[in-house]
Amino acid sequence: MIRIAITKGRIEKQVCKLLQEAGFDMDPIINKDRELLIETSDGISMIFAKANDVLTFLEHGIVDIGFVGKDTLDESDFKDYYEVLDLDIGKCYFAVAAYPEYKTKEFKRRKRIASKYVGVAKKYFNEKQEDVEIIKLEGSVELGPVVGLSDAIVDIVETGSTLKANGLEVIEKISDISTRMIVNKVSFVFKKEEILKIMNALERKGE
Amino acid sequence: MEEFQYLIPEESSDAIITNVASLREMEGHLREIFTKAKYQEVLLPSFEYVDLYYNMDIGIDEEKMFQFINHEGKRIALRADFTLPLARLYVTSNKNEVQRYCYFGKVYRKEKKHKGRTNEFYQGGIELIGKGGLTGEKECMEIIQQSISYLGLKSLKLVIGSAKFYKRICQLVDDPLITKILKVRSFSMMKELIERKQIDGYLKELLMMIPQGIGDIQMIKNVSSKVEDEVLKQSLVELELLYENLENQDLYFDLAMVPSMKYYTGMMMKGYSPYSAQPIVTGGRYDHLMHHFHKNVPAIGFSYDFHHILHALEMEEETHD
Repeated sequence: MIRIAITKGRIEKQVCKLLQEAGFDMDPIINKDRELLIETSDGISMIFAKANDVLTFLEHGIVDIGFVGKDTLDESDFKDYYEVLDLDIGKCYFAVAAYPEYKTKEFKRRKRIASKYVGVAKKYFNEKQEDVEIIKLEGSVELGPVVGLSDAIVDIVETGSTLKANGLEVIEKISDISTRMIVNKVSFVFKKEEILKIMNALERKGE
Repeated sequence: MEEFQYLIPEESSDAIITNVASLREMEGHLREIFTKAKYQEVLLPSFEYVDLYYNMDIGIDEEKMFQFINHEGKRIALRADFTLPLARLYVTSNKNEVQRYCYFGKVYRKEKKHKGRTNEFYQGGIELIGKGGLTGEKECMEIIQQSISYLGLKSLKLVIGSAKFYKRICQLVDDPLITKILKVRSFSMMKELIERKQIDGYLKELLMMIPQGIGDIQMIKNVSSKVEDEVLKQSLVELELLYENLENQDLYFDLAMVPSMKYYTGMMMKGYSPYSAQPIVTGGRYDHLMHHFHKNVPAIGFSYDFHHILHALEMEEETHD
């Protein structure tokens, strides 16, 4: 029995589609109602969780495999997993965004940066050797500059249309994001063959 | 402040109540095996200078230590590891010959909050100082194999890696990303790296298989027959030799094992239970650590983590109920 945790929502749909195309029985999952744990005829037991919880389940050895966005991995301070595969789906990127004036403006105080991803923002500005004040917002981070709370934001950019609609633009790209397959280290020792089977199926799909 | 009467600090691990008897029994068996093999039990100090750990650059981050300022105004820390204090003991007791130490006790390292991880680790293990090469490794492995059966855990797997192999791969690939790739066993990143560095021939083939490189002795033999680099080959031959010299050959090998402590120089081992998310025993050879004390003495050791073992025992019982 292989236990998998998938991030609910888009990642769940995309990964299940890939697995189905690779020949795994995904019918019980595609036809599911509101159950949070489902077993398939291939001996896969799947749970659906929020991104951060996927990591938590994997860390505690509740699941062998997790599917989660690179954004979640970057923001988490838990690093004790194998990140075996980049699925090359759900692609977007972390970026600093602000009003265009940000680029030329001279700041006589610490810049204020709003972000949901405090760890990513901290790391980025630390690498730039810039001391900034980071303000955590939970959603619609674009509001930061719009209401004057912050000078810029660090956020995930997909199409950039929300930024544009609010007069903001990408100042600098930070790093790429896509969906990753991660594996519990102990599971890799005990269930290597089953894990590789799923990995290889997904890898071939990506090509 | 009444609420604090009932809670324990987040850093502490909960009192062990139900399993104390089995813990003590386990400890008793191990102590008997260790002392029978002439390992002298040592009780080590609870506090050490932070600089002892820091100057040696062994891979325990400063922020992971529980630090205090002592009466001299110096920084001291709760013991974060057993190997360093034992290395110091060896050097300061002016020994030049082979020394065998064993120990039981706690080490303290700050782990992530709210992750169900503890900051206190109850460990027990041995250090064999002054014995290099195969004889040291054989002795160490035999003691693990002998003692591990007393833990009462089923379906354990002992996995062996080589710091020498790892270091040579790093040299050959010569890219800062390689350690990260091995650590996370990323097939995707490995592919990218091979393309970017235009690596070809046997090395390409080897790098492609390393991420899935957990297997039995046959895997080591296959790889070693194809490897062209002398140092790589030597590191694999050493593993084969060890295998051949052990009576109990229930062993696995891991080509992607990255040293968990910076001081490892040769053979490394990890013992896994399917019921523990962390290895229950870890260890390895550290022949250069004594250089920090201006001595050139080979050494090897391992330690059991009793918290992980007890957790695995509980889980095993639950699943079998």
